[in-house]
Amino acid sequence: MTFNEKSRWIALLANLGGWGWYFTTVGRALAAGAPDEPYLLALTVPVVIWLTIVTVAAHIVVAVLNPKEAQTRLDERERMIAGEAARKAYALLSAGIFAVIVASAFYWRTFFVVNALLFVFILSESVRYGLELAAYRRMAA
Amino acid sequence: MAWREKLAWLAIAGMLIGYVPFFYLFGREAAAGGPSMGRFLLLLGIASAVRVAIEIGGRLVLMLRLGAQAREPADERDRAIAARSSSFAYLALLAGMIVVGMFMPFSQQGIAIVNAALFAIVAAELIRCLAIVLSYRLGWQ
Amino acid sequence: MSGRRLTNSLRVLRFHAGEMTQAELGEKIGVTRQTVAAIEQGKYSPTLETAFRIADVFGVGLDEVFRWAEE
Repeated sequence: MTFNEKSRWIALLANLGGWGWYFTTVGRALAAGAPDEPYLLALTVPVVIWLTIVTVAAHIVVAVLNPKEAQTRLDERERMIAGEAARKAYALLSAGIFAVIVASAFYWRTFFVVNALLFVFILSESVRYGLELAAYRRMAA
Repeated sequence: MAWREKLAWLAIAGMLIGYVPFFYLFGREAAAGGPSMGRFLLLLGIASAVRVAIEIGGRLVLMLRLGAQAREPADERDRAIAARSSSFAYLALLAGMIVVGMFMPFSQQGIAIVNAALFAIVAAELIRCLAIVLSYRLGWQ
Repeated sequence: MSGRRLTNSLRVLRFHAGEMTQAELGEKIGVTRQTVAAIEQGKYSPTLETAFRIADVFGVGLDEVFRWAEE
C-alpha cells in the first residue's frame, strides 16, 4: 500500500468517525424535539479539532514507520486515480449544493441549511476517498 | 479547436452572461435591505434559464455545423484534461463550502449564505472550464 | 482494435537485470513500486514518457518492453 493510499484510509475513517458521531447526535436531538441549535452547531468545533489531531497523528505514525515512502510524491497512476475520483465527487458536490439551495426556498432555517451543506461536503469527500481506494484495490497486485 | 474546448467556452459564456447580472442585482438589492427569498429565486431562475439557453442552444448550433466532431467519444487526452480540471474545481468548491458552511453562519443569515453557496458553485464551474480551455490551448503535460 | 491487448516483459527484463526489484525499477523511472506492479500485471498503462524511461533502464527498444498480444 502506498503512503497516499494509507493517507486516504486515514482520512476516510476519521471523517466517517467524527462526522458520523456529529450527524448521529444532531439526528437524535431532532428526533427528541426542540433541539438546542446553537449548541449543536458549536459541536462542529470539537469535531474539527478531533479530526485534525487524529489525522495528523495517524499520518505521523505512518510516516515514521516508512519514512522513505512518505517522502515520495504522487506518481502518474496516483494522480490519474485522484483526478478521476475528484471528477466524480465534483459532480456530486455541485448537485448536492444546488439541491440544498433549492430546498432552502421551501424550508428555510439557518440550522438546516448549514447542516445540509456540511452533509453534502462530507458525503462528497467520503465518496472521493472511497473511489480512490477502490481504484487502488482494483489495480493492486 | 477540440470539441470539448468549444463546449467549455460555451459554458463560460453562459455563466458570465447568466450569472454576472444576477450577482450584480443581488448585491445592489442586498445593500438596500436585501431581496426576499421569492425575489432571489425569481432572479436565480431567470439567470439559470439564460445560462441553460445559451449552453443548449449553442451546443445544438455547434452539433449541426460540426456533425462528426460532436459525435467523437472522449479520447485519453480529453479524459485527462477533464479529470485535472475537475480536481481544481473540486478544491475551489470545497474551500467555498468551508467558508459558507463553517464561518458564514456565525456572522450572516439566510439568503446571504445561500447566495454565497451559489457563488461558490459558479466560481468552481468557471475555474473548471478555464482549466479545460488552458489545458487545450497551452498543451497537456 | 478489438482482439488485442498490450503485454509487457517487465518481469523477465528485471530478472535479467540482476534480479532488479519492482521498487528499484520504480525508483529509477519515478513511480511507486505498486505502479510498477500494476504495469506488470496489465492493470495500468503507463504514459509514453514512463514507457520510454523503462526501456532506457533496460537498454532495449520500446517494442522489446511492450507489445501487442492476441487475446
